Amino acid sequence: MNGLKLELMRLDRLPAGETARVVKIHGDGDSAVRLHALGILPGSRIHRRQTAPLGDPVAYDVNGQKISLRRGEASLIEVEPG
Amino acid sequence: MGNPNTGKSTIFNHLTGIRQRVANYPGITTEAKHGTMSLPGGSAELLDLPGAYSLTASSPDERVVIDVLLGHEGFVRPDLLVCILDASNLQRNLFLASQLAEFEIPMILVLNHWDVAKKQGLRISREKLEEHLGVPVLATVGAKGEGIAELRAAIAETLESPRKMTRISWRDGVNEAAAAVVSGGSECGVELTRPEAMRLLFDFNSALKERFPAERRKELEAILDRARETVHAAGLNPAAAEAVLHYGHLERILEESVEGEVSVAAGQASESIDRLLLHRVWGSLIFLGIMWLVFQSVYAWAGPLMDGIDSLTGIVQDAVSPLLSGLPIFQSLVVDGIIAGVGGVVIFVPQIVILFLFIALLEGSGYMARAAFLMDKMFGWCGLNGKSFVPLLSSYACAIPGVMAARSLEDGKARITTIMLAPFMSCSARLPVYLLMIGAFIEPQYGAFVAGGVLFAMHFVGLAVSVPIAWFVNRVVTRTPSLPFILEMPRYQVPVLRNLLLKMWEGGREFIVRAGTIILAFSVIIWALLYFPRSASVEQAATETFMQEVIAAGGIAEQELATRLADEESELATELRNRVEGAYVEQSYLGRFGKAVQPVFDPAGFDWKVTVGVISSFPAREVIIATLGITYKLGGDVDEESDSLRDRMKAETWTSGARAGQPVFTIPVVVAIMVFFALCSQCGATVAVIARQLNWGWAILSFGGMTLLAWVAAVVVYQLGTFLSSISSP
Repeated sequence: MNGLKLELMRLDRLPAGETARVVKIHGDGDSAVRLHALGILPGSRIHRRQTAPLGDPVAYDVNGQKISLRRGEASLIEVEPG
Repeated sequence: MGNPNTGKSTIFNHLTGIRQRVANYPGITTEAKHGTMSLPGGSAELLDLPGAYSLTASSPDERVVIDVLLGHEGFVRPDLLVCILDASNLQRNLFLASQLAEFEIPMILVLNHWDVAKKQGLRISREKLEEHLGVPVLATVGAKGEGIAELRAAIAETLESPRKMTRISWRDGVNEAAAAVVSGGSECGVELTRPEAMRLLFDFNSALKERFPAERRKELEAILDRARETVHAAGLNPAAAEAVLHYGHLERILEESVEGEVSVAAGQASESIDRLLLHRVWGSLIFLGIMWLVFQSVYAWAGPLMDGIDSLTGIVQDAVSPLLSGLPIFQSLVVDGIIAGVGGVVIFVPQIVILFLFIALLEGSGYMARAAFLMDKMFGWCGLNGKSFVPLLSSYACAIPGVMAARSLEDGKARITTIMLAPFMSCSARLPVYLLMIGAFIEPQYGAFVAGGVLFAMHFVGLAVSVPIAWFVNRVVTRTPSLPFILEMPRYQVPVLRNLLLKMWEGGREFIVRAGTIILAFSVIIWALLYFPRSASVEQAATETFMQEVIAAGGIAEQELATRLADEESELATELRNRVEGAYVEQSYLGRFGKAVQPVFDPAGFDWKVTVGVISSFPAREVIIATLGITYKLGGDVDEESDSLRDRMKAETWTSGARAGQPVFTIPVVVAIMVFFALCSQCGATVAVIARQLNWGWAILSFGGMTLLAWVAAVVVYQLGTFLSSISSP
């Protein structure tokens, strides 16, 4: 049997209403630094809430706050289910 | 200092009351306030910096905070930092405080929203926190004014015996890296303090790099890269290191000091409300409803107040006028120049105050963030974000409060773009021009339905032209990237009345003082250009011509005419006055300028009377109606509905030149005039407000750019229109 490669999911793919755990935030640019400053760190739990009418941005619950992230920022965050 | 949405402003307002001003830092337009608070034995100056989640400074606006903390760029280093925290979300809120500790300035921590934390079941031990953090920890409920007295006392006390917040003990790798940056900076000729070095190390493309001369920046980059490598080697991700270490440290402290469940979510009640307000269908509809309400309030409800101010101005004018009848020039200056000018400033205040009220309501309740969320996608295309929505929408009523409202946008680029777009939104002052033109020329020929359609379309001309330009500038010309748009949606709250009133007051006051002076100056200048030169010979000549005309028309003998004219109330006397007024305007500097400049507007089909009208309306658009009235010798009291004005305009023909004998107001000319007004910068007040919010460079660019654009568009419309009508009518 071939080794099944576990596909690492990014936050922008998290289905509505689901919770996930942050693995890491990719990149070292401005977005990454700011996301970290908000307490979105490896191990944080993040829960997807509402989506804006045109599909972007999306509201998430994380670290005791509700924040809106555009697809660009959300795609930097690698998550795993749970 | 503190995170956004912590009630920082409420507490600031409690401490300073009405003794506060918006701080205007040169070159930066972030909204900061400074005020005075009284202390036993004196007073203290309090500075309210914009809310921030961290000290990361990628933009010049954020850099101001660092400059303040270090006492650079002419700021005085603070003696005390009062950190306002949201007690129900301590961990994230303490992150900023923990970063601030590096600057070693005495601090007080204020746990605001204490009541919410209690309701959430959190039991926070202030004593334990004080023990761990080394600074006074107070509890307040800003909205109710609880704990404020204790805060005042604590401030006074800590100024006497300062206490600094315990700094986290960084790991060796980080200490090494920070030291390397400091020494590296020294080699480049800049003496960095440790906190500055850490900002350069941890922030991506920190604005602090600007402290270094341009030629050394590459060197600086190399130093930073090496330092980050050191951090990496110590097993940390440099982009995450600061957060990981601070939060780790804070988690341990909070475990010991706080009991109770802290959920992942912000709050149950708010979430239930969001289920409706952020619902894809219902949420959007409610949003549209609320925006319609805001728009209506500025557009329509301010109306009666504005009419009142208009009448009041008229009353004052009528009252003052006879007092100065001995000195005609001075009388006109005071009545038509100064009083009219002041009236022209004050008339905007209702709109500004009402808009600021709504904005304060939306922000204070927490709904503003939801509105920005719903609108964000559309705005992203132009380099803006959802927060630009309210300023731009309000600009549809009047650009002045719209531009002022843009002040709260943190992203500098988005703020500038929003302010430059605001005047393109079809403001209510353009409406009289549209109504006059459409009512006189389009409706009679094409019917009410087409007329309505044209009116509707005119509202979007500005939008249609400016948005592609903004998109183009954003994609092609941008040098500074926009900040990532990460928006917090705070818990819903009941707005605090005191804050609302203070915001309204501050908005009105700032407008009158800052922009009002410039508008008044413009009004007086335009008055002068329309008044001078004034020689008796003009009046004499006009009177003679008039009398001859009346006699020639038959029926009245010279003697009777003189008697009739002596009666100031008679129809003939009124007509003569209008004639004389018209002649004066024609002879005035502005009138002569209009005639001289008419060739510039000839390709757009404007004759000299239209040109003078256009030029005179540069300070304020609606002025054209009155000016047209005067130039067409009907007196200045006409409005856009006046049949007399409409008839006169329809009958007007070119007296000379290539089009001699043809009507001036053909459909292409009419549309060209409307398009010109749609796009032209004809509001001295707006230019003044842009200058105050940004700087004169942008204001002049707005004025020049829009005027040029308007001219080009008017010419294109006229030429194209005339061409099309010539080929369609054989």
